Amino acid sequence: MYDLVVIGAGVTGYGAAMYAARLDLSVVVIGNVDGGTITLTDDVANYPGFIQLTGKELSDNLKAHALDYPVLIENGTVKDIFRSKDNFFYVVTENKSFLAKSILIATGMKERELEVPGHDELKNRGVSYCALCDAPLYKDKTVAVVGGSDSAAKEALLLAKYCPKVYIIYRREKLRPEPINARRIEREPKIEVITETNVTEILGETKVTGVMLDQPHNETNLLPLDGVFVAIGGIPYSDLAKKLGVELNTKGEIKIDRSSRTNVEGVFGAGDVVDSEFKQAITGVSEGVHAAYQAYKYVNETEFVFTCKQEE
Amino acid sequence: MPKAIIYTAPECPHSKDLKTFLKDIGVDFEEKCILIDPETASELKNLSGQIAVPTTVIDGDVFIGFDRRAERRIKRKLGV
Repeated sequence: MYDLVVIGAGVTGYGAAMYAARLDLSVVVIGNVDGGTITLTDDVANYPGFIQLTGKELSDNLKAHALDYPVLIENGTVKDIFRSKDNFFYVVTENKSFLAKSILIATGMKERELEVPGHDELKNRGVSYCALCDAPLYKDKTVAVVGGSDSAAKEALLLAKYCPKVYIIYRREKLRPEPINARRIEREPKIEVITETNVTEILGETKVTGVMLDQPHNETNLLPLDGVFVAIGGIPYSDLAKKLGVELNTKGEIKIDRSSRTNVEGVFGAGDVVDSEFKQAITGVSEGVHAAYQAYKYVNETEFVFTCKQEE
Repeated sequence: MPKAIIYTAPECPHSKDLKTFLKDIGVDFEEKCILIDPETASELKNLSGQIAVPTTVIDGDVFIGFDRRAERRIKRKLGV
């Protein structure tokens, strides 16, 4: 029986595990992507205490910190979760079950896909969701980033290191990156921002040759390209939470209070999967730490009675 | 055929599958529910480094979890 099972091996999960272990809770972290989404980012310059490092370096640091305590990190996928008759939880992976007095769901989110004709056929043939992974493949090519968030801006800035021309195509009037990245984009002559415009189709037979826009750009709706990088936000991985009866908002995010508690006793949420407006590595870790403390209180204040009675 | 010691929990689906498998191949087993007392869970942790069920011990060999791969490894160990 573990005091806390953390589902999700991103920075939020590792940070929470470290704190929980410091509070003497027995902890296991279960995840199938070591380090989580931030490992796809090459430039993290807003995590306090580190002037600049990669996402992988940040997650490795948090993992090493967690492993400085007796934390078990299990590489696996949680297939099922349920509350037992005795009030604790079963967390079931592909081949085993972990029993837990409390649960932290820090499962993050997956990339939202661009739903236009041509996307599915050309995904990984010019349509990418990861500039850090694929930017070198587009050296000396023309590419576009679809999206207007800070993530989209960072993708474009990275691509500009390789590509002579990078478009940012955004449906709204104004991009919304952090001011520092907005200034970097303004100073980068290789980046051209096209606002109030949607991509309506991705063109190409075996690889991307361009996109169709719903507004003309330089008097034509056809924009020739070699690659399209999509950064239009995410969809929270909240199915497990839903199964436990955790309340979600209309976006499917887990609703938490200021102490990272959900509406279900013993179940906590943190990171990109919860309903916080500002989703950052540091805010996710902070929510995870709140959850660790609340789990500590919950585990110590709750009486658990265990029985081995089998149901035939 | 050697006897197996298995660590289980009452509502764990993989524990149920393991017991069915062992019965099907005719292996006697001693079942230790990890909820019965803290010592059983500690014993499991000492054996496998974690408290996960099911875990099977046969002649000192430890098989953590149960799936097709574990099934093959247990059969190989038992020579069946």
